[in-house]
Amino acid sequence: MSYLNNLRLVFSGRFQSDVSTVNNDVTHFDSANFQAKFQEYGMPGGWWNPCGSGAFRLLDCVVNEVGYSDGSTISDAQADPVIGMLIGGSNQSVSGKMVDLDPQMQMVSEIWGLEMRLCNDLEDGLFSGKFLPAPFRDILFGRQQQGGGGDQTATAIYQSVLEDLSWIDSSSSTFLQQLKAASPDKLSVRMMLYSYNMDHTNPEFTLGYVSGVIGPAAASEPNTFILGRRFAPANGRKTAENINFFNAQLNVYENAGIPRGDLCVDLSNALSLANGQGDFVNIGQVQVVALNGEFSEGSEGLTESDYTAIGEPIPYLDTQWLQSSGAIFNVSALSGPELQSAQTRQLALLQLEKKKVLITETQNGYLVRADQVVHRLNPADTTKVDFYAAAYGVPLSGSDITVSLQAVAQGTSGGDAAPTINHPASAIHYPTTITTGTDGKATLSLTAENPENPRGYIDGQVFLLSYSPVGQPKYIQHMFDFVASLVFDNFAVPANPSWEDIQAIMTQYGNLYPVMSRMLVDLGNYESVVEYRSILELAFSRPLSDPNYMPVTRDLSAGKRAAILQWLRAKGDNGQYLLARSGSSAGASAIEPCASCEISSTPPMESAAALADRAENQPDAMRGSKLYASQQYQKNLKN
Amino acid sequence: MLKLKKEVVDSIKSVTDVSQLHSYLQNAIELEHATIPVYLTGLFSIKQTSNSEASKIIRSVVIEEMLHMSIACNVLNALGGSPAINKPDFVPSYPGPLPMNVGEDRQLVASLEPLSKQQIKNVYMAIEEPENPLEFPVENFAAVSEQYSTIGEFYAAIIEKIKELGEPAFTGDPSRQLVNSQWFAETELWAVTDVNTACKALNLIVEQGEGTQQSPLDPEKKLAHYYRFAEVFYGKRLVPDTSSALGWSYNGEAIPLDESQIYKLQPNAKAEDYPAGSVARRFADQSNYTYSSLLNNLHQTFNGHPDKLNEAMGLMYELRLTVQKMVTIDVGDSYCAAPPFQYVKTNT
Repeated sequence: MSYLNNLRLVFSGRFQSDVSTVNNDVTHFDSANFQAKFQEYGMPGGWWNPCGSGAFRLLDCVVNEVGYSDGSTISDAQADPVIGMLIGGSNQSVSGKMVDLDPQMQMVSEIWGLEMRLCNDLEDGLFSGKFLPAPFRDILFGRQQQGGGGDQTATAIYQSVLEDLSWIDSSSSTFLQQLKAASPDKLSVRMMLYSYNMDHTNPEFTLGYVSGVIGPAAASEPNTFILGRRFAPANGRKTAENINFFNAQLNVYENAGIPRGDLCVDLSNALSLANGQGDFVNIGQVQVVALNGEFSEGSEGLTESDYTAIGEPIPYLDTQWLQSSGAIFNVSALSGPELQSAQTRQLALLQLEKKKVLITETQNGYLVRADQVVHRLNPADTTKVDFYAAAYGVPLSGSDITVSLQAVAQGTSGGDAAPTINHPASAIHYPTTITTGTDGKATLSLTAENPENPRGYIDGQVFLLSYSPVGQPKYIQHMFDFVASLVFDNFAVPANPSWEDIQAIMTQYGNLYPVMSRMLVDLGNYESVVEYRSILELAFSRPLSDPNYMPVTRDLSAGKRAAILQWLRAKGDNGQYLLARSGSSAGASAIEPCASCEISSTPPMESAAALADRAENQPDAMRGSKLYASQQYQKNLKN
Repeated sequence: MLKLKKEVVDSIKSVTDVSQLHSYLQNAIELEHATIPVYLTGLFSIKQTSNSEASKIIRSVVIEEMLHMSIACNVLNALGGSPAINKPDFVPSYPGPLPMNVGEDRQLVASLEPLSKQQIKNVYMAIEEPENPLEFPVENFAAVSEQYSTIGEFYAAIIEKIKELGEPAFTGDPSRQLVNSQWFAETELWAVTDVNTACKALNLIVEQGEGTQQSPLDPEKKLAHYYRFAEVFYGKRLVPDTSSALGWSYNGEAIPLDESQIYKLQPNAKAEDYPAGSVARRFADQSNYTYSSLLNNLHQTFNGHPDKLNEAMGLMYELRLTVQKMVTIDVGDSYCAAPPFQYVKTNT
């Protein structure tokens, strides 16, 4: 099951991620030293999109192919009306949001409040569901050969499930009937994002491309990764051919008493991209094989007895292969020795001209990963993390996994003036070893305590928990496969909060989000906040999952939120809102918009090459990018 | 005074069954909504930090038009009908006539244009003109022929018909009524469940729009829409004035309209006016989608899910922030990009 099986829908199109960047530098949280230029484009300043709204949108995402449970696929609307329809966001609510956990951990950005629905100009939604918030995984920088600077050449995967499904009408589509029968309550979804544009002078600014797949989801499976076969570059980064981590799944079943297997390999985030159109770099003929011995990545000159070929060579050079197939390679109805090899031996990609092993599955087909990897915790909160262990895709019982807190460092935003993360260790409690049960699953219980404001001007603390399988020293993990938690400081809610109790909180948000404070409501100004009392009460009182939730960044502790709401809601005996304050101010002044709220009128069309060149020569030009954050994280680890 | 064909009012009078009244209330909903894009375009054309009084005045009218639309929906729901808001022809094509061809008597063209004294006079004040405007001093618009009835007469005919049909006509499910004191005061929006609450509600629409025969104030002591717009047109507050025969004159505090601080929005823009792939097109498509999502949401709000109004408020602010950025885009010939207010089904 999961999207990585025969029964699936493939879509392709654009996405917009209008993230804001003032909050990408932890020192910008220091309100005492905040400067106006931090809300403008540039460095030093608010970096590449200071006036971003946080919106995440799916645009023009067209269904190009569906696969049926028998392994056949079609791409003709005459054969199934789902072909040519769109996968879109909600048409009744605001856009979803893309949200970092913290300036010091920007590598687990989640999508919140996204609804996905299958629709067209006639149908409102043949199905719709809510995307369970999940972070991107398996990011690889420089995966794309041509393109601009920053994150334009990076790609990553969002995998999650659609919940609260509604099925409006499946009668006209064989595919939808099969999908609904297989998975009526939730669906598995993968979105591979690529070629994201970060140049605000370009019309494509904040837009990127998405290759999506939707399929069934089983209750026994993790929601956010494939419990199957994991391919890993030997150095933990990428192979010589720029191949990234990727996943495959072998679904085994019986047909007339004979064991059969369908192998599905997800290459969307794996092979190197030539350009922003999703074309793959030609690295010769590539085939999935099961290795008949120990061969490491890069081994050349294998003989036919060294491996068992699984299916035909991968058609990755076909025109628009990514768009039309989602770059999922399928071999259906494996049987006999072929199936046996695929079930019990290490899989690999083989380059046929040189008989070269491009990349292999993890040693012994081992896999251990955590499902819920991003947490926001208030003191005394307890949460759960499900870990899964498997070998060659089969759940492993009795497997030990160790969990440990990373060393004190500065995470993804550092510098001389920046605080450090991962302390005090006493503020996060967890067992250091967990053991999987018969289902291959182990649940870690995580409890938070008041970290007592170790970072000063920014609330709470970030804790990164690494994990690894015991007895598997060669197991290779992606460097961002950890469990990240933001633990908030305790905040005692005053009995009758006044403006002075919440002003500092509101001012900090006002500084960090010019899209609000410079275009709508000056959050640091009493009169301005009073004018917008109703909408602020609404936004601060929505559930975390709601796309209207404020703050968009979801980094407000329960205590501070309660104080703000209490202040906004308190009424006097006369039924009027109190909106209490002890002092007085000079009154509201008009909000001056910042230049970053305006769109440059005559975009100089900088070429991708020029932009890349600029990025190379000015290392700071792409501050605020995931690339920069990732570099900071690695640099800070070593310090 | 904007008028509509007398046949419309005559046919309301000849209604014999409440179901025949539904289409006229649907027309009322469409009419109240149709003014909102017109006024919003003016509001969004004002540069931030400038023209703040004019901005407040227009905003106050927009909010009351939203109220009027809600009232008309409540009445239709109370009478067992179902408002239809989520369809392309719910939105007029601008420039063009208002729903029911209201204003054809004087060739009114509802248009989406930036704020100017000319637009205020020719469109805003024309839309809101009372049956007999009190002249403080305001010239009366041309007299019209007897083939036409006023909006006041349109609502009066509905009110009379509701009284005639009486309490049995109120078969609607009370849970479909929108009452939400967070956004609308209880003195302005209430549950419509019987003849009395329906007539009071419809009267409020007419009074807030037109004022009363004796005073420019509505029953809540706020200036009727026509006089609020006239304040911007004349550049001065309408204030009590004992030296004036009518007791009021445009002699109060100045309300300057600095037209240099108005974005010169492309009039009556359509998304298709902007080249595919341009920034203006992206913002036009997005603002259309957000606006359409708002209409879809309001459709749900008025079809059994009144709590959805909260989400609608979120969409209004998302639309506002999108458009505030959009109007800064120079699309050539010194024009700025403008939101098209087109109903679309998908986000492209």
